[in-house]
Amino acid sequence: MSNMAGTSTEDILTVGDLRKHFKTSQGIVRAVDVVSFSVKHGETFGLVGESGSGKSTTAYVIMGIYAPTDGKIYFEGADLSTGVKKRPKPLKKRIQIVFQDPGSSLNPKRTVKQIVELPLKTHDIVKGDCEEKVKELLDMVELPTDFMYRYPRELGGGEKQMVAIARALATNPSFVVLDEPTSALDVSQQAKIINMLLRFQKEFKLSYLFITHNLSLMRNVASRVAIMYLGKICEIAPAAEFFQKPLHPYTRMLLSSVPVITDEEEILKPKKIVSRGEIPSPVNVPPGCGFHPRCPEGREICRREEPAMAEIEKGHFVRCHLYTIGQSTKDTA
Amino acid sequence: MTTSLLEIKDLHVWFSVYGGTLRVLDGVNFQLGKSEKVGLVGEAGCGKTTTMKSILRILPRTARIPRGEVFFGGKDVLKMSSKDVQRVRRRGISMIFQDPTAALNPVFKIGEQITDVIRYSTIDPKTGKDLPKEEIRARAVQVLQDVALPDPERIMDNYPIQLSGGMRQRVCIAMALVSAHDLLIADEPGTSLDVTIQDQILRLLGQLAEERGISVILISHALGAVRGLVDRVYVMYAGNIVEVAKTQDLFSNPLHPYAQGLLKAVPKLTGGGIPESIRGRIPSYLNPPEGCRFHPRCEHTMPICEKDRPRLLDAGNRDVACFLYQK
Repeated sequence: MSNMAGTSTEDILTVGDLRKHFKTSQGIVRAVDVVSFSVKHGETFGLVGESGSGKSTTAYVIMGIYAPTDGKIYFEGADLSTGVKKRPKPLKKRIQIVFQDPGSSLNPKRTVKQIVELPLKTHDIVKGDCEEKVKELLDMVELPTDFMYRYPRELGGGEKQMVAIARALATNPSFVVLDEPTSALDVSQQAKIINMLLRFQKEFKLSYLFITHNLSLMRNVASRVAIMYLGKICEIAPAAEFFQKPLHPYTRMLLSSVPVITDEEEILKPKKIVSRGEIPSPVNVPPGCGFHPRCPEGREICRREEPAMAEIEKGHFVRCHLYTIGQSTKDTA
Repeated sequence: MTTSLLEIKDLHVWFSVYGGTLRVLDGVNFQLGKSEKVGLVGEAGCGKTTTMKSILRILPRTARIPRGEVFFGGKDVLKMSSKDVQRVRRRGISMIFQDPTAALNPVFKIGEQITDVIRYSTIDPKTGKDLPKEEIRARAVQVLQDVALPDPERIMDNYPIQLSGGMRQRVCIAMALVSAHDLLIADEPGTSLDVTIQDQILRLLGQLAEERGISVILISHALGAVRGLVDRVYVMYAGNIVEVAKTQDLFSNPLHPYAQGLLKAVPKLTGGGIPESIRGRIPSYLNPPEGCRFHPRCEHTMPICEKDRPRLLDAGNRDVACFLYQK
């Protein structure tokens, strides 16, 4: 697993062998189990997977909402693996998040102004009255100024998400986690928000960690994509290659299940992979490769031994025995 | 269409609320043949679910229907006695609701809920007698097996909370299938689920409908899911049907500006960015725009669009409600 750990100057965030386990009455849930990746300056790194695959937990650990069980997180050279309480305040404002459901991530008893000005006050960005700065932020996300004194319930779903974005950008961050920012919205609203986010990325030189289960959307926003299954990353590749030359059987199964609307997309989809089963409970992870009970190409070795991440082509990593059989399979982390 | 199973004519549904009347459905026309699979698409809040609920007469109390007819098997559902409507609900139409967690009662076991459905849908209309208990149970196990649930005997003894989202959705489908004789209405089945599960559920629906010759109405805002399953698509906007076409025709060449915008805004697996095709949002039903309800968001607005309501008229291989195609 040393292939991606360690910091380099072009990376804004590096996650190395990250684990997050939860103790429950049924046993230990390995929500994130040895995850390593890095996000480069100014890129959009995509994280896809089914629900329960651990993609949101990974994001929350990076944000500091949970302290990691084990592993390292480096952000702009600083070590973040200690949990949020020990994080220096100036560092906190550099990392922000936009949650999935704007209905529950905005306080229903606060006005839009109060919501957006909270990070400004917490981080002493504006002294005294924040009205001018809030106006500026609302203007940036194309909301009318008089929305300032409205409550979240008076806004539509898309508008609420705009407020959440304005709040995230208020502290002038360099890294933003976008956790399914448009999955609760209609396609027309989605198009507007995504284009706005991509514009801000260029304008403010932001790096994004973009989480979604919508693969078609991912194709259009991410520069590199990682796919997660049962707390582990199965495959990481540059976006174009990820969609044109998927290697891991799980990636292929997911891609062949995506509903599409044009014939050109139909041609791109991997053929004849019928999806079956569902993601098992993370309490009882199958031995060997976690995907083997659903895998159309499962072999004897998959049931016994966990595959190791291997670089098949430059920048294209995959964790599957199909590509390592015959080579050394022993350098498992 | 030779034999039509369901025909909705000029349906209006209004809701009385504080501050006025929400004029939601505004002259909906809809037709469905026997063993036909049809999709109904549109943004959230455009009236898809309201249309379907009026077919089953399960609208909330605040709703009223000032005008319109809903013919099911030749009879107007809106004029039926409540006893006849009960019969349609039991033996004619069944519906899969949007949220499987809300559709299942949390305090009863899956087995109790599904056997109730079977019992009521199989009461002998003449004698009023139930099927024998063993027969009902056997059918329940069978239908749970049909929807590919593992170990149906065990699931019968589970409460809904013990099942995953995908399994609950399949239980709802099983309950709808067991009572469906003529028509199955599927309201967003699986759109809240993962793609692999959604794919499995849609394949299952198509397969079962084919085997039994049941007609299907698939309601969804996920256009890709609709494309994979249905023969014809109705596009709805703000309480109006704006375009009706064969699936292939609609997806390869949409005519109505709203349908065009909707298709353009869907992210493609082939990449190339996401165009912002429709500005603004769905209008308030308290004061819907005069004329064509889409004109404030349309890029091709003409003076006539602000005054007159375009009717759904034949435009070659489909029907479109837009003045661009009516000269």
